[in-house]
Amino acid sequence: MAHMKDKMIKVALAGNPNVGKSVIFNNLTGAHQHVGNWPGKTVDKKEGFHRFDDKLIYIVDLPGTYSLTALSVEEMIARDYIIYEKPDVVVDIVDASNLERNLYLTMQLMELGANVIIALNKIDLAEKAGMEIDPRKLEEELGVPVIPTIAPKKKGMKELVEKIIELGEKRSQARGGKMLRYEPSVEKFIERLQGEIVSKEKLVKLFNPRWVAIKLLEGDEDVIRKLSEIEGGKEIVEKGAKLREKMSMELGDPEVAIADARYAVIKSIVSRVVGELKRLTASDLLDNVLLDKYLGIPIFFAILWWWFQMAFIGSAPFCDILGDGFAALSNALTGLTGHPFIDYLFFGEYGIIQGIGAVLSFVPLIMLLYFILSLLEDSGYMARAAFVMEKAMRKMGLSGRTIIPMIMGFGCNVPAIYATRIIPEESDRMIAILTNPLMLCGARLIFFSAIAAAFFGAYAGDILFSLYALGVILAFAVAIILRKTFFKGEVSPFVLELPAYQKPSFKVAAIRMWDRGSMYLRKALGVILIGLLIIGILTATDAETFTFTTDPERSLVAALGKSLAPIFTPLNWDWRLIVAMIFGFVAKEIVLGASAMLYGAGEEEIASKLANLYNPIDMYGYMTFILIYIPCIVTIAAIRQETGSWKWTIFTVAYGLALAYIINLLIVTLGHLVLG
Amino acid sequence: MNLIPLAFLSEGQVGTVVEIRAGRGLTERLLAMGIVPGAKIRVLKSSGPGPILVEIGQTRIALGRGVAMKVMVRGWNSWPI
Amino acid sequence: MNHKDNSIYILASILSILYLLYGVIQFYKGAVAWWIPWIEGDEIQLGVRIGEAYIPNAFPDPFSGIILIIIGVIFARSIYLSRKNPELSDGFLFTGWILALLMLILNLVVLAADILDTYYPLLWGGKIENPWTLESDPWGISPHLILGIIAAPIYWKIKPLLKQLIP
Repeated sequence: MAHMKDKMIKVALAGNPNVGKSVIFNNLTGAHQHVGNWPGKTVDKKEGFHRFDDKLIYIVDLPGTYSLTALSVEEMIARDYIIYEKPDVVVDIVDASNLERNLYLTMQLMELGANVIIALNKIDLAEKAGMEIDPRKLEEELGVPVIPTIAPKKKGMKELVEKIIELGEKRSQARGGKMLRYEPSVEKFIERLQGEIVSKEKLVKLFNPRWVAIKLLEGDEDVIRKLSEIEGGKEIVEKGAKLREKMSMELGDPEVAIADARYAVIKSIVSRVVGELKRLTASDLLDNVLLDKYLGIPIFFAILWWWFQMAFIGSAPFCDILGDGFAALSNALTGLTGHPFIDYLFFGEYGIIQGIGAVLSFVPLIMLLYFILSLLEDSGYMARAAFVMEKAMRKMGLSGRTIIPMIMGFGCNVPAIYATRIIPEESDRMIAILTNPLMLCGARLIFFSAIAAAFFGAYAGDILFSLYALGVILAFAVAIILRKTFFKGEVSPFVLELPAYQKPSFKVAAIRMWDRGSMYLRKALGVILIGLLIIGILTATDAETFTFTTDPERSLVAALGKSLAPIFTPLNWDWRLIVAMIFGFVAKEIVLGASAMLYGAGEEEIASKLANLYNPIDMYGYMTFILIYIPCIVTIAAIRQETGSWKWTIFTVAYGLALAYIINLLIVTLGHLVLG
Repeated sequence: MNLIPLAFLSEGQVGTVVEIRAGRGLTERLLAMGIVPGAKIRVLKSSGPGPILVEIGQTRIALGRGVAMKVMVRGWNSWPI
Repeated sequence: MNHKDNSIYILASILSILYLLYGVIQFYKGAVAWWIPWIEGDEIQLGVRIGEAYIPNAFPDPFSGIILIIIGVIFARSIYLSRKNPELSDGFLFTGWILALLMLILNLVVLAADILDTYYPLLWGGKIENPWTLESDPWGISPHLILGIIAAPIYWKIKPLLKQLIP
């Protein structure tokens, strides 16, 4: 047993009353404990053992105390044990929810020079009280190990034992613990006296000099008595009394001054170590739902659907009013100039006035799209949308924020391309711009809806959905390819601030809406008008005689179409489809109207007329071509502006045409193969 | 002192930023957002792959996982309470 | 939990069931109408018949149905959390309420737009072919409107949260 006692690590448990010391004692010793008496006193002495591997830990549970003065039996027991029995480790159990008061004892243990480990207990209660404590920071500040524990749940026990063993085996080495200096006015007295003590060999062997100094300045009776019995002690006691006198004159009661000094240090440590725990705010609660692993993306789609329904259905009457209004105007002005050609150009069914009307009829939609987008962005939601989409988008080499311009492309590609400005990284932005035209815009929808209804009847919805899906799939495919070829490299690192939710400003939304709407208008009017003019001239000029003609088949445009026909024979197109496609280059809105003119039918009957002339498979192929090929002129202008380069603009046109041709060919070939 | 990447903290855990191991551009961006050495950072959302949501001070920031791997923190309690 | 809290959760449960129910109906009708029209399903409706119209009118639209289902799930989640974590549960109630409100507004906008679309020719003395009626409108008074109104009382439960965001 004596042999074992050498390898044994001697541990004392200290701490305030009610901090959970006995619970920890029980955790560590379990059945291996024994309750007796402190010799000569009526206070319980609890001691026990804990075995860990081949190590034996002997644990004494010291009486709970708030301090280590000489004024009570418990305190005397505790400090005498530490001074005379010299335990290898003193575990100071600190109640985290009462940190300041508990650290007062810790200060004194460190003054004693004990080898302290702090068990930071009741951390859960501290958190419930709104306090957040950084154990590592506390460790840093005090220079002693800090082990967080929750005694009733036995959390931290293993770490505590390990630390005890680690420190216990270093017993011969220097003690840890920072030399915590108190404020200068107090410290100078301590250091003076300490200096005297250090010279007394016998004293130093028994007691920690700094501790003795502090105790003498406090006038500790027990220490005075103990010192008087040691060689050189009386001298120190006298010096101590003198300094105490002096201190008393300068600072008042020395005991109070020293206690204050201790608390000053404690307060400053605590301020650095304890933070306030946040209460859940409304923004937090919302984010918990909107960023939810399962609900996040569905909610995003719900918001998108809402956005689009509001914009499309809400703007529809205004779009109709504008369209009808200009049609009426055009009709009213027919015959104004008296010159048939100019008349036709300006007031004809596909003339300039109608063209203006077609362009304007899009403005309410664009404005409403932007108005609501502004509200969504302002509220802070869009950042959450980018967050939930980020993972999926990243897989395709796109940034999470790309989803927004992509969605906007379903309304109109022009504002969508401008919207790519929200994407910070240039390569991401370029890819977003170059793939946006594949998003089925509103203008193409007009054409497709009419055709789908006529050709596919009940299945029109399916057909339209398939076209949307095709566009999206191709967009992702092209993005992946671009990412691997021209825009090599990783998607930009995702760093995005999620602002707090706030009430969006309607005024700002209105301004943005007006801004975007007028931007579209300016671009569109200029470009489309010129385009319409050219088309008008080409359509009304006889290819052979160069005079005005109302027969489209004789026009220049028809000649152009016929000359290109061989290229499109594999796709089963005739010259009229080619011409309509060329018209569509100017503005997709007018493909339907252009077709109507070419077939000599009204816009209402054109779909059924086409149904009689063409095969559904061929028509579907045609629709995919219209979906994929070069975007309208306004889009091209937007691409040119936002990419700042003709190279990429031409690239977009080129790949659009190529991809459109290939897909159309695939569909027509496979379709006829399978369905005959 | 154990340093772990921010990406390894689980939901609810707190850490203190120690070091940012990234290129100049990204480091600048992170610093500008408030992710600076010494700052206390809490993980709000981190489930599966995909970006994580953290909180520094009053600010909520979303970071891609790759970015979160480059922010070295020292963790607090080993258990989220 | 006090009496007032309980009644909100009862409301949330009712809403959850109704949203899920109408969501499934709309999705089914929509899926059939749009994608598998050869299945001629019955004209499924769950509502009060007024003249030719139903209130609410579960018009066929799979996406609209999915949205209703999502809102239903959100309210269900809030009930599920109401015991374990009432704070988080409030977040779901809040979100559900916001979405319900947005859809209600949408339905009103749709009705207004359809009416305007029918009667605008009057602006320049044109003719109106088909006057607008509730049953002629594809949306009519849809579940979005009715359920949005039923969800309104949740406002009082989530009012403190709303005040935090909009002081």
